[in-house]
Amino acid sequence: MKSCNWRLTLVKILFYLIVLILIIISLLPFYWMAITSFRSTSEIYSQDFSLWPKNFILTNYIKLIKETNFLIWFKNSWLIALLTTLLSLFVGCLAAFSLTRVKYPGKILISQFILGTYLIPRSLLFIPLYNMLKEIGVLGTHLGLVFAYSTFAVPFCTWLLVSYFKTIPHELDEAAIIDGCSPLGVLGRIILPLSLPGIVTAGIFTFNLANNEYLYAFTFISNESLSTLPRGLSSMIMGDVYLWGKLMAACLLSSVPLLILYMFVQKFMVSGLTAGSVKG
Amino acid sequence: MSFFRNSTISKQYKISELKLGYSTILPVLLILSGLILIPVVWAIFLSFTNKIVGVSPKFIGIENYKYLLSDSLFRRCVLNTLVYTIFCVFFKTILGVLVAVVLNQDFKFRNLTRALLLLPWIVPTLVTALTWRWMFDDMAGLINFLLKSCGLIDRDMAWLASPKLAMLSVMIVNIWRGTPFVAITVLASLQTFPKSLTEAAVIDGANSLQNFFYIVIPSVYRTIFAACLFTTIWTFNDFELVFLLTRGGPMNITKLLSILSFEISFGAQKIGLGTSVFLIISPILLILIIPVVRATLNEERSE
Repeated sequence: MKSCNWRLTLVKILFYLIVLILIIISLLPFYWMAITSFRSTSEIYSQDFSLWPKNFILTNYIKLIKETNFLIWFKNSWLIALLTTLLSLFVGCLAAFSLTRVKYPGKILISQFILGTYLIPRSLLFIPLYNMLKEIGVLGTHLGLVFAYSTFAVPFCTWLLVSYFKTIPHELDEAAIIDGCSPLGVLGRIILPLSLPGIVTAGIFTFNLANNEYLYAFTFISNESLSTLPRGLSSMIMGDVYLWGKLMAACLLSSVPLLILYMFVQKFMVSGLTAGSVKG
Repeated sequence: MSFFRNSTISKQYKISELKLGYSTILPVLLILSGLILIPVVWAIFLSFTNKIVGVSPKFIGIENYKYLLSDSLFRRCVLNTLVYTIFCVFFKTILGVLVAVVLNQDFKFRNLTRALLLLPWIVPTLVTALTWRWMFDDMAGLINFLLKSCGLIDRDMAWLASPKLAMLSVMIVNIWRGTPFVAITVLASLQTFPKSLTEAAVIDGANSLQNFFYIVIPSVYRTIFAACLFTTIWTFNDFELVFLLTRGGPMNITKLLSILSFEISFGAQKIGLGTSVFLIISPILLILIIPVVRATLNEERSE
């Protein structure tokens, strides 16, 4: 009995050790980002290395706000991501309703098409997309980026919504139909309210995807004041000069709001993110 | 199930069901056809031309493809991309399953741990790339400091600039960033796994390792496979992370196909040739994409 207890304790210690190592690995870069952002340039490059800053300073943050267009980039990024998300949610909800609730020929082909488009590499798409946006005169504008981001946001969002809508029991819509509700009324009054957590989660993931995008922003936007955060941040690197303090401050400031959003949905995430799409 | 129960009886109902179905799917189809289908067709056309920015395209048949096949840089990039994809996917899958199994246990702070372990996947790629670039810095980087203080290396290493280490370094960053995706996907499926099954096996005398390999893994195998395929496609298409870490250098060691395509079409402005880079390997992509689409949709139907 005693030896069994002893073994159990050992297993427990080993388990917590693994957990600790995993946490350290995933948080170390964030820790280093934060620490660097509060250090002065001379301390960053000083010879006596330490894991803790000698004195916390905010110079990097002040410089970032004053010397760069950080706040404008931030606003641009969030605006574009928000528009992309709203568009994706709107068409995504309609499509998910269509794919999960209505019967018509060609549905399987359409599902395959939507999923397939999500997997097309952006590196292939960006050249013809560039030409097309130029033709219709929205290249280099925020609207152009919203169009470009829809290429991955719409299929992704639709896909998540399809998996949520499936979890809403069909008996409910049948009951509503019998009570005289129209099919679109079922969408508006039954499915949408019931899948609200799912819609919020899908929305936040789509938002995150659009907010993180770099390739399209980098190639399609030429005006610096229209730049998004990732593009703006990369423009802060001048040749070989890396002002790490300022850069890390920018990284931290652009990540924190996303992390807060993410904390808000992470409890739905495990049950929801991949439900249906890759469920075993 | 159908909204129109009597659809077999009344033609009227059938028509209105068709109308409803097509009209609700139409917006997505319009957006995707306009923004993806047309550009892809246009890309295929361009790949048969010698289109350069500002010059009207001239049809040159399969010259671009022939050129690429004989180009040693192209072959180098194919090799790099394959090595990068295979290594990263392998480790992301193994580590992802490990993390999922850990997170599936009952322990204190489990929810907090789950939230923390998934963080690398949330922050923008650019932030990941910049932070790791700084950690890999050869003058004042954290990695060199930690390894030196553990006594594992005795002098500073140029992680991203040395031809021997650059590929390893970018792969580490990709694995760090991509593991959480596999982990949450597998975790979701582990959580639907009935505990009674493993309990029954324990009663029958199975130990926890046997339990894991003979009962848990086979039942979530399909999920692992699906997550693995998705990850493979993303890793294969990866551009941003490596581009921001090394720009494909040193000496093309980390140059992926996506970076090559970008350099040719955006840097050198040879659009025709640039689009061919991805189209020439599209058979490989299709081999990956078709089973993902099939498996995902089959599962839906069997549900």
